[in-house]
Amino acid sequence: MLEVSGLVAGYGQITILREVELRVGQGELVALVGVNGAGKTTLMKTIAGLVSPAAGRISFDGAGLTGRGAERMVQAGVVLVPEGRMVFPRMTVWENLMLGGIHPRPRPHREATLRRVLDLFPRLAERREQKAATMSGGEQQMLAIGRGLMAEPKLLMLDEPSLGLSPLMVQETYAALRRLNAEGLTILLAEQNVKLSLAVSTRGYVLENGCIVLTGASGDLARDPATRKAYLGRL
Amino acid sequence: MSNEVLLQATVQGLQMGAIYALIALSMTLVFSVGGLLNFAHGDFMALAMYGAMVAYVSFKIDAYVVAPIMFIIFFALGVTLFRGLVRPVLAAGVLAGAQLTLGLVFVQENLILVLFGGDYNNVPTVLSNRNLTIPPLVMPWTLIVGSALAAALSIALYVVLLRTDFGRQVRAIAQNRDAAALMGIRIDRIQAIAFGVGIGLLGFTGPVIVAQFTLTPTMGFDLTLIALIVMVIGGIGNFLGSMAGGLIIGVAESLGSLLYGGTVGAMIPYAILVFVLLFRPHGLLGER
Repeated sequence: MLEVSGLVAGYGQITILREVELRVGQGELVALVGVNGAGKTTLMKTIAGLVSPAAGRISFDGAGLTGRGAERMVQAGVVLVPEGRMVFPRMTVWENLMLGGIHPRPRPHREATLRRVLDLFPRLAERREQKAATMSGGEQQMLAIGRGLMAEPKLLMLDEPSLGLSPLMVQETYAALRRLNAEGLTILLAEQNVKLSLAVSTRGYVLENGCIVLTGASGDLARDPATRKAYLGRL
Repeated sequence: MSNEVLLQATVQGLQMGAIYALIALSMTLVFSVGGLLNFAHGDFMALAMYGAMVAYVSFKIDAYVVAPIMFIIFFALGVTLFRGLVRPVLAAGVLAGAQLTLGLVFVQENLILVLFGGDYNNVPTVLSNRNLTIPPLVMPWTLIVGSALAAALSIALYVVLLRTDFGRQVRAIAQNRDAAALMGIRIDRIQAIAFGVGIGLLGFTGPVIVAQFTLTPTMGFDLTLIALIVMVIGGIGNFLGSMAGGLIIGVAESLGSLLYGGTVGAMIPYAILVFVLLFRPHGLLGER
């Protein structure tokens, strides 16, 4: 479904990603793990069209989309829930969700999608008229995911959804992701929380200094001595 | 001093305030999409007023008829300027953008000087020299119509920003540009339209309030200064704040010159600016 090959990207003179290879198949939940600064966010942003790659190829459903920009990626069905949630702070929950479905592709079915999103996150329904800035981190994360779903993604990418959340909220967020995946949504999940993300995913990639250094079934990665040593500490 | 005179000055101040509010509101609209402080804002309006003068002198067309045409011309001018000049320069930073608009001040003021000379000009309209008397108030019709149109446009713009998909997209870009891009919002397009509407509103407002002003080549920058004060008092980027700030400055100016005379009165807006910033550094309704 998503194919990334030989991807080189960065900011200005600084190269962050070096020849990244990554694939996500229909219906998969794939984890992208690595320490802070490994290049996860840059990779997610590049796939989402916010950063233009210097070299390499990104294709989705067979169509070449390298460097075509964020609007084209949303059109194709690739939607990123960014790191730090990035909800629109001075807008209500409802406004944030409506903006999630603003693109001409999902816009005609916005109301129906909104009902599904509010079913998934009932708390958002309670907070409909509340300004996003006044909500807790966990609620903002739900809103960010809900907003992403409003764009009717074929591939939902999430960058550090557990960052800064209480353990209970992390559980709730991950339960929602599992449910979405079980319903058939393809998910690419970037996480520093290696243990957690390898536990929910089927396959994983380990990113280190802008290169994919390990890939395989999540269970194998979690048991791999190298991963354990580098990312899981002495567990 | 009698209550009647105070009332008269207050009403007149509110009417001028409605006009200031619209100028500041359109400046806020331009600011909100790219973080651009448009120092040439008042000069666009001056240009529109001179446009109304040409229409009147050369073609005997009344300013009120010219206004909607000017909106369309200035909208197109705004979109073109944004695409061709503002966006490329703004990419180099907000400061470069501000310098560009300062350059536009000189271009426009000298263009006016070259085309129309440095004389003072007044443009009469079909409503000039007619007053509405509602005892104890006597109000010139030009001001009534100009301020009513400005107020109506301000409210319309506010509703559009608050309640429509277009307005939500404008606010989304202002609040988090990257997140807006991730929604698939076509940022360049929304920005160009917002810039065009901001300039277009000046094209409309200039002619409908032309009777209230004496036209000089440098009048634009005075208008910009007032709009800047209004924006800062209300809270930069806050639309409601710009509206409230406009009314405050309008009334303060009017009452100030009545109570303390023209020279001191003209200082009142600046005094209010300092006073507000002392206690509310981000403006009356500004956040963060």
